[in-house]
Amino acid sequence: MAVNVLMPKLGLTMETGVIARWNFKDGDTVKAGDAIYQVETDKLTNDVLAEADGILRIRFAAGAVVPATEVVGVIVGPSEAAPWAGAPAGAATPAAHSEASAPATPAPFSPTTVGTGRPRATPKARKLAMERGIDLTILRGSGPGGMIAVKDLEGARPPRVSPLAAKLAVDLGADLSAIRKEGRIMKADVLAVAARPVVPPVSDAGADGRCEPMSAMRRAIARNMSASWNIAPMVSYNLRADVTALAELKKNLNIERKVSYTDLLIKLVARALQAHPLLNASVEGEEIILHEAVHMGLAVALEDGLIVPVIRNAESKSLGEIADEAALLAEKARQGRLTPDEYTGGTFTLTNLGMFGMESFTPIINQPESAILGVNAIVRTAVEVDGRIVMRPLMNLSLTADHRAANGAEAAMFLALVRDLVENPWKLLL
Amino acid sequence: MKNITFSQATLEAMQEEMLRDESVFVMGEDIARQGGIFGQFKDLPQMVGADRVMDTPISETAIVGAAVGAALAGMRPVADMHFADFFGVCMDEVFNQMAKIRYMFGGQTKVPVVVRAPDGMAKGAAAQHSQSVESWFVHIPGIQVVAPSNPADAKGLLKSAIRSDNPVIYFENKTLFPLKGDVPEGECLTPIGKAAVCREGRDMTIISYSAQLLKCLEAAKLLADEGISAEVLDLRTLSPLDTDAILTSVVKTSRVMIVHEAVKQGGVGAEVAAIIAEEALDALDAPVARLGAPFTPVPFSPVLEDQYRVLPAQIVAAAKKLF
Amino acid sequence: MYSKDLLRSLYSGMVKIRRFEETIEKHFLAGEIPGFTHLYIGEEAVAVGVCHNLTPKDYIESTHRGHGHCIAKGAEIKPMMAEIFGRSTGVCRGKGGSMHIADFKVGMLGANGVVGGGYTLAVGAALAAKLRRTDQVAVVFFGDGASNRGTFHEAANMAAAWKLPALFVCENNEWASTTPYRTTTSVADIADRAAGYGMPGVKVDGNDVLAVYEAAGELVRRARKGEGPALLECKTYRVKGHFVGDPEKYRTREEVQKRFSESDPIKLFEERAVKEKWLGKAELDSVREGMAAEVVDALAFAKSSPYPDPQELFTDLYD
Repeated sequence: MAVNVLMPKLGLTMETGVIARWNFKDGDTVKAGDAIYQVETDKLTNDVLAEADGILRIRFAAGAVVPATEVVGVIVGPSEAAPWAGAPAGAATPAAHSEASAPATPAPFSPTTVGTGRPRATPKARKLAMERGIDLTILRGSGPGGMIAVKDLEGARPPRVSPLAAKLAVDLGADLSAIRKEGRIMKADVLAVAARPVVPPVSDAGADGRCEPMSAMRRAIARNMSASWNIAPMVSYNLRADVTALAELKKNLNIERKVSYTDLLIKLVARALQAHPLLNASVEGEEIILHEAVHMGLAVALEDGLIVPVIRNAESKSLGEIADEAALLAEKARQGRLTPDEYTGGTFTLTNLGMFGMESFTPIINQPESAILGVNAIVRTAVEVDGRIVMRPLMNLSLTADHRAANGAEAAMFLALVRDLVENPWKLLL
Repeated sequence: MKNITFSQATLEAMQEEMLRDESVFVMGEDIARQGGIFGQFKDLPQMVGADRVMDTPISETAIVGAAVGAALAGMRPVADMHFADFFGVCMDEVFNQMAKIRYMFGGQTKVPVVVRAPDGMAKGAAAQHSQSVESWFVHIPGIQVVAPSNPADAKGLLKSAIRSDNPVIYFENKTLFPLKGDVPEGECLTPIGKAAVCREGRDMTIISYSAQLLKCLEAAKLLADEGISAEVLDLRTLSPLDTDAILTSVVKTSRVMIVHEAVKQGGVGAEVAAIIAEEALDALDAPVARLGAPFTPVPFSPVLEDQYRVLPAQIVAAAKKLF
Repeated sequence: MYSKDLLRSLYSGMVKIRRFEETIEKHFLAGEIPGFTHLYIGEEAVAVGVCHNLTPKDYIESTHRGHGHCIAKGAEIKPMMAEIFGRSTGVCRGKGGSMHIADFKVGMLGANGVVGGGYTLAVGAALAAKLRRTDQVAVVFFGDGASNRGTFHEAANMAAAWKLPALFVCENNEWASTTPYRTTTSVADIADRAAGYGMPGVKVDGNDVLAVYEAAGELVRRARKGEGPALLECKTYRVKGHFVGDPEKYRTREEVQKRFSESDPIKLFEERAVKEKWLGKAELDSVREGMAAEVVDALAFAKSSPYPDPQELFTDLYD
């Protein structure tokens, strides 16, 4: 009994996944539980495990971009053939004889997307899709050999586009078909696409340069950051906070259990956000959605990327719970084991570059959030206190806020409150 | 209209053209006394005069060479090859002499020769008497190649070939000779270089010619029962190909299959497929399909010979894979 | 007794060919002529002797060594020269060249790049004459090397079986390309093969233009009367290499010079003409000068003619 190996749908927004690599070859024997291939989405890399014992038959090669839930392989018994490979080898039927007449019958052409991730489509379907602005990668092919044929385009509507977005697309020369979105294409989407860096021709790379394709995660970061940069009028705010009290508190707490400045900041920023909901909001078209709960995103640098796991309901969690959860999420992030629920749905993001000695920076908002707080290094600085110059540990707080949601005064008051809580952490008890 | 056999149609063409033009004569093995081994020349000497219908020595080289030489001296010879397989015997006369003379002598002369070549599989004729070798000649500039599939075109193409100032190779499938069909009364000329849609369809195009076309028409009927509307295009002329007709049909239906009795590898289907790929790739909603004989000589035993043929059921099966 | 006109015509024909070929050789070696060229020097008596029995309505089929046949059959040398130079004014509009030269106006149905390719074509032309009941004849020239092609058999048999007005003229120049014919040919006298086809086979000194003229004349008359084909073998010698530029590793220069000095058909004719008082020295000189001037004109014509328009690639192929 053949068991299909699918491209898993990892989260609601996943449309396609890349087969990063197969851990087994076509024809290899696999056991239930073996990690048979690695899927890469724009957010993470995941192993897909075998659900049965048997012989693995691979349908799409590594590198293929495959729609979620599509069959990418099958685990079959010893005498079974893969359903896409035609009749088992050596059992040519008379009806097929003129096809099989060559002495060495070449392996059937695999109905795979080509290595570049280009979906297999008939030339006519490809031409029509281009004319109609239909994205072939979201379609399933039902034509010969699994190719996308003209009939597969029938259901696929060209994307709905707002009039403003359409005009903008023309003005900016943006390619609407490059926008992958289920809903209506808005101005922001067009801006995001238009802002995509143009890849210079290879010949311009110079003799000592080299060209490396972006990883899926890199592409996602590039896309999201560009989109954010283009849609949000961002203002940066900086304020120095004296962390003497916070350091004292951390030291005392650490006698009981380990907590980090980040954990403390999560806790107190969550508190501050409750007082300033415009910083814990999302702009959707001409509406601002104010989120009740604070789902605190925590930027985690990875070897080759960046991911933002989310601590949900941070405002109602104890410091200990926050510390535990932050440590767990950071570890899973580094291992690439985050589940989609764990890195989506944030309402605010905290990003800490203090460990690199940064004293100030202007982080970019993680859309659709409306603000992000950059945390810097603690620097012992000479300050005036009561007419005397003393040395104090100061930390710069770098806030970037979306002016569409929060005016300068609102953002400034929020940041001032954060400083107040940093300098007077006992207020968290109130 | 009259209902006559393919063989009678070719005979009418010969008779009409020989009576119309005194410079036309015909020579070949076993044609005058015997009337041709398929009866296609039966009583022709009585119709047009014995001196213009000549039994030759078994000398294919001399038959084709003399036909060319007579053409250079102002005649319009028709040479009969007996079996198309014997082209191998006289290939120099065909491709270095007949095909080249007009061009390499700068158009000082024309070479109005027709070579009739019975081809294809008859029951058990085996490797040296069954071949379909048309694709050899499609590769040679300077000659034209026709291959009728029915009595009307058999007559019309033979008459056009005889009147043509170009050398024409006229392939006549042996199995077609006894088949009957409607032939127009009076003048009947099929233009060289024009294909014909012999069945209209919407969903796919089947391109074929000669005897194999009949199998394609059968297949088209079977496909209609399954809801697939297949257009069937009879190429009729293989060189020059009617590119317009091919592309028009492919653009209309978006799917195409080429079927011939000849070996698939390097066959006419390869050329047709290449033209489609060059000129109409983005009209295609499925890969081009080709069906032809396997890459082996024609076998003898009836069981093996049946394996060698492309039958309607296989055409249907291959057609369905295009959807 | 030969008429003075005939003698002068035979002589001028041979001289014209000789001069033409010498000019071609010079300009080929200068790199002005593309392709392959095969010279007829030393064999002039064959073409001239045979063709003096033919009218422009008769047909000849020639060989890759065909300039001599073409000139002897009456072709104008200006378009011939232009053809060999690849010019648009060439007799084949620059599409044939030396190896594929033809002049249908004078019944010269073409040189043939395929050795032994001409027999069956000549048989066809003879068949056309028979079917039309004209008195035309068709002559095919071929070499000792070509005599070993199977086409000879099919053509000779068909011509003999149908009593066609055809004449097979073998120019036995002793060399099949670079191979001595005796090492690859079953008989010393190719004329002997005629017996196998029930037709006359005649041997003649191919360097004696009058002997060739006489022998061919008899066989042509026979053919015209409907008595069927014949084979005439003309014993001659190939003075030049197989092609211009042939390194000739298969024979020595001395050998060639010796043979040529003994058998040059023009020299032999001149000696005899003077000795028999057929033509005076001054007359011979005047013919030579006239022919040289004609060839100079032809060369000038060829070299001043344009190359074909590139569009010419697609003409003269189909209706």
